[in-house]
Amino acid sequence: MPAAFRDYYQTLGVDRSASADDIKKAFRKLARQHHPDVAKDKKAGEIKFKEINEAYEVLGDPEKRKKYDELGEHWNRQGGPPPGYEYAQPGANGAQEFHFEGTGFSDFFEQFFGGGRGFGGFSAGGAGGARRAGPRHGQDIEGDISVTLEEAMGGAIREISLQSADPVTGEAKREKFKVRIPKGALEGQVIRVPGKGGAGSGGGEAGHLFLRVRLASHPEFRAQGADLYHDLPLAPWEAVLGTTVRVPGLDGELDVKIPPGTASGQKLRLRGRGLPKPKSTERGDLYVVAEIEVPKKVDAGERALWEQLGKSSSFHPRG
Amino acid sequence: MATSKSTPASGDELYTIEMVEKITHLERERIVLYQHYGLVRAVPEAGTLHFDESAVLRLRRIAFLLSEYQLNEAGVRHFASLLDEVERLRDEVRFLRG
Repeated sequence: MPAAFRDYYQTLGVDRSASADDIKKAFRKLARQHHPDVAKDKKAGEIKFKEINEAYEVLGDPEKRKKYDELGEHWNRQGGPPPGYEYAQPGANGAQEFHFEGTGFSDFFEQFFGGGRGFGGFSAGGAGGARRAGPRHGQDIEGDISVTLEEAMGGAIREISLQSADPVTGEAKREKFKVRIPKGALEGQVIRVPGKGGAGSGGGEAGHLFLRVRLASHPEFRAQGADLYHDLPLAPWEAVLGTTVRVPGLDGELDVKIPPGTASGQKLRLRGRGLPKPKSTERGDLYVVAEIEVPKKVDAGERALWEQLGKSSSFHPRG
Repeated sequence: MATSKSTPASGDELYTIEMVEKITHLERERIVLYQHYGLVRAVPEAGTLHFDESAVLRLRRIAFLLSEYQLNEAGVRHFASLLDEVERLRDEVRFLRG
């Protein structure tokens, strides 16, 4: 059952020839606008935020974007699905077919870009031996689950719907179950749902479903483990003279003192303002990364001031 | 449509080696060996070896490869290092692109 095609360029409102920088800017703008914390209609904001995140997950990754573009070229052509499409289907080659809902990713994403692949179905008699004719365990399924930083902060319960088709009878079965996103869930963390993989055969037990946490892109932060990074644009004079600026935090805005002589790329650590650490009461840190920006255009008065500074300054960056 | 009423699954469970044996169908000696080789990471908890869900997933994959493709120990180690590399690069890309 092919999933409905998703136009990610349309979702982000960018042209197909948009640069990586344009895509990032479009994502950040839309994500700020529709973030569930700021959207007037929280439910609609949440849906839109997930769509934007999924689009950026693909278009923001050069490899995935290339694959998506190749797919898109063939999608509307007469004469069936694009080359390779049939092999990307979860039900191809006799494997059991699975479709997820509730992971934060669409069926289309799961089929082409997600980790939603089955592996295994192995002999129940233990590993290491020759393939046996006896009981066989069902396939394990791996999928991604998109988790927002806010969900990782406080933990969440997610309802997942898993649709599978029996490989022999083709009979469809839909099952709903709840998955708890633990407080302090980190990128790549695995959540196992026992027995929700493929059915076993000959008395073998069912496989498991393994969901891998993918932290949703955030317009203000990048996560590395339990630490968060926020890129802070600064004017050259702010970096030289120092200043105090207000920066976003996951639990409210914070005032940060920028010391005089701050260099571009310099990191200022705000201890304990990151994500919760797993199985701990501690939190990671928030790093504010200085990004010194320069004006692209200056008027005559500004030019005169910069020139005056250039002549009188004792600062020589190249020695 | 079936709906599970049981406690929701979560990603912060820790398992003893006995539990991992049952889930993965791998012998205890093999699990200890893979841990020794660094193929799976154990979490020290109350003085005994415990494993998280990521370790369980990896051991299930290893069990599959051993059972279905008769991969030897060197093959398993190679496979595990490639998995690590892919995951590390994936994390790096995601972090850098923001």
